[in-house]
Amino acid sequence: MRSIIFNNQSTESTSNVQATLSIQSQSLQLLNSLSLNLWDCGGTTSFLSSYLSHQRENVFKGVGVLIYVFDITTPPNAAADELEWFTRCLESLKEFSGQEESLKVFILINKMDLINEQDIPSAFRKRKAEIFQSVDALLSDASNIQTECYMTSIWDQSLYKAWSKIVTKLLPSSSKMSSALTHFARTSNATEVVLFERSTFLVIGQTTLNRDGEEELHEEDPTSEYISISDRNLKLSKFRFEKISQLIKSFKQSCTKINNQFNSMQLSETYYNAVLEPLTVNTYVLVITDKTDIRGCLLLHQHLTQTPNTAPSAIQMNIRLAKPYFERVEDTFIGGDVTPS
Amino acid sequence: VKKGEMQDEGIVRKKVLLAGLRRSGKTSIQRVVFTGMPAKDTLGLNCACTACTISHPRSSFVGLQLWDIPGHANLDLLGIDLSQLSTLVFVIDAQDDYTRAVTQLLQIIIRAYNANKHVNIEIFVHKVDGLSDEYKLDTLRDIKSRVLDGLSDEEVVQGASQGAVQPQLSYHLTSIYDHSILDAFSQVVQKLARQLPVIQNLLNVFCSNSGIAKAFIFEQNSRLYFATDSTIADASTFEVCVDALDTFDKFSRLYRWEGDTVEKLEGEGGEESSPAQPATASIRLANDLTIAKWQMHQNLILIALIRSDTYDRFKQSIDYNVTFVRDAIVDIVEMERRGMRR
Ligand SMILES: Nc1nc2c(ncn2[C@@H]2O[C@H](COP(=O)(O)OP(=O)(O)OP(=O)(O)O)[C@@H](O)[C@H]2O)c(=O)[nH]1
Ligand SMILES: Nc1nc2c(ncn2[C@@H]2O[C@H](COP(=O)(O)OP(=O)(O)O)[C@@H](O)[C@H]2O)c(=O)[nH]1
Ligand SMILES: [Mg+2]
Repeated sequence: MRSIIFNNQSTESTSNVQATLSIQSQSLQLLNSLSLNLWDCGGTTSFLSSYLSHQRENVFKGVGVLIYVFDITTPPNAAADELEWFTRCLESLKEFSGQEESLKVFILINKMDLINEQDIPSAFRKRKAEIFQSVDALLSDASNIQTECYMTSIWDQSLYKAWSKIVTKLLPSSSKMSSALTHFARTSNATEVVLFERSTFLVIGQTTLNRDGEEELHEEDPTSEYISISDRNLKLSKFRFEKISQLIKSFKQSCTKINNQFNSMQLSETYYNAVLEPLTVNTYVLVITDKTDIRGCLLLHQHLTQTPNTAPSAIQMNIRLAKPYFERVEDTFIGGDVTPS
Repeated sequence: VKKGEMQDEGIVRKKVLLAGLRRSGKTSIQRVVFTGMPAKDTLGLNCACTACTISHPRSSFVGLQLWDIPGHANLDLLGIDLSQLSTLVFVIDAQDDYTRAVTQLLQIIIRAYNANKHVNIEIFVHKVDGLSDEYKLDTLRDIKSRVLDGLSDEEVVQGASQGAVQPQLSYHLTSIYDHSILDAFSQVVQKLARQLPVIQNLLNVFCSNSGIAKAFIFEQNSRLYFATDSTIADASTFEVCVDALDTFDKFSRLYRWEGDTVEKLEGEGGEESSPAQPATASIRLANDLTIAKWQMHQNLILIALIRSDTYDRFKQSIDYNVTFVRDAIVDIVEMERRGMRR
């Protein structure tokens, strides 16, 4: 799983990933503000027991975030063991980190693709309940530990969704960046602006505007893959963020075949334009503009004088102009010394 | 109403037979190329035990009828008339011992050739994923020489060699795990398109006038290419062009117009006029290369590789040149479509 998100590997190639031996740590710099020390702990029992015994302090000291991956297909007889390991990890986490420090625990229930579609909600609910039940006592007196639980599969976009949430939760600047995005979207007359972390291509901020420049999305229709925005004729796929992450990452991989690297992309479809460009040293930005906005503005006389130009070249210009601003926002948060392990 | 009927029934289709031993990969090829099945899903394909399956892949430039027959089938029992065949595709599993496959290939070449002297014979040396480049080429060389030896022993063909015609044999190294199968199948289909030389010329002129390194005209549905200019490109360039085509296509589905329905976007479209502003897109790579896309016709896409600084400086005139390519392609496609109907 780590190989996909952080090492830019394709899903197909993971069947050759060897079982992780012992602990592999990897340092990552996300958005300047967050230097992530990622420890991928081998799941083989002997390693588990070693870092839960004599290596305990070494592993768990200073940990700010624990990401624990469960396998939904674990047979019932092994599931108790899996829970036991998880409980012991949590115990160690509690023991070696300060009371006042806030800790985040992300529980991913993986391999959901191997479950029948109609059983997914119930299987997820059941496993989640089992997990929380087993650690209930541990967590009840630890108000500094926050937990989140997501279902994932490396074969669809759920993995990206879960990791996006993890990274966004960890980033102190993400809320500030989001309001900067909304401002940028308004001034450049965009329908949607999405911010991606550069190396993982995970979504770390996003804003969608209706024709009046208000942030608003219509109700999701559970029967359709698309959602609509009021006053606009554009439908948006519910899974667009995860799918874009996936698409760009796989194209980046493809570029290595001709010894080149992805830089930017633009599309001009019948009704909208899309521009994906590097923004700051740590981010990419995607800007979507509605081509019919021009028509809409002609109807409103007060806007006539400032008919927005939604062409890709105009978007690129706006992005270039906004760069220094976003760089400042990003820099402001380097100070925050958040270094989860 | 009449138009719909003609589209379904009145189209003249070229017949392409997929032959080869059991488990050689015929059905996988057909699924991956024409139904977009992911390669890993073919592991679950059962061996076809029923009589020949006939499919009608949609194609805007050649009407095709693909026959996929089980490896152990007897052609006579299936009642296949070899004289109607435009192309014979024979699939050989290169990861397996191919002695028996070559024997069967020789028999079917002779039968097909005697039934129709102009039949195209395409030999897919298949499943070459996982083989080293050197081993691939050795295998190809070995199969070629066995086929030639086998044919020279045959009287039928010897007789013919005194005359003018010889069986037309082409070889392709293929795998469904990369885009080599698309490259090979594109070449197979192109031989059946009457207008190919015209379009190839058009692309040659376009490329030299617009400073373009390589151009392909792809069919969106199948990802087969209809034509390319005559510069030689390596396999990895083709792979990246197909990947770019996929990326553009998948991205464009994430944002849609309220009025668009799936059928409208994916349907054949018939005589319906193309949108006022055809879609364009581009991807810029770090190392002075741009991959640009222009929509030509509902289902036909021009993909070109250009140096980024050429693209930036001459974008306007390249776009202008594209309109001529588009007009010519639309004319040719419409003409072909009329010709396909009787
Ligand atoms: N490694 C590899 N395996 C392939 C390739 N193409 C097909 N296969 C595998 O070969 C097996 C047989 O494929 P089929 O398509 O069912 O073969 P077939 O020729 O239709 O077989 P019959 O219908 O029995 O004649 C499947 O398990 C495919 O996944 C390839 O390019 N590479
Ligand atoms: N079907 C399916 N297989 C998965 C999924 N995630 C991982 N795998 C497979 O499980 C195996 C082990 O994965 P790996 O990431 O090495 O596990 P680790 O030991 O926890 O690091 C690999 O063969 C993966 O292809 C999933 O979501 N669905
Ligand atoms: Mg078959």
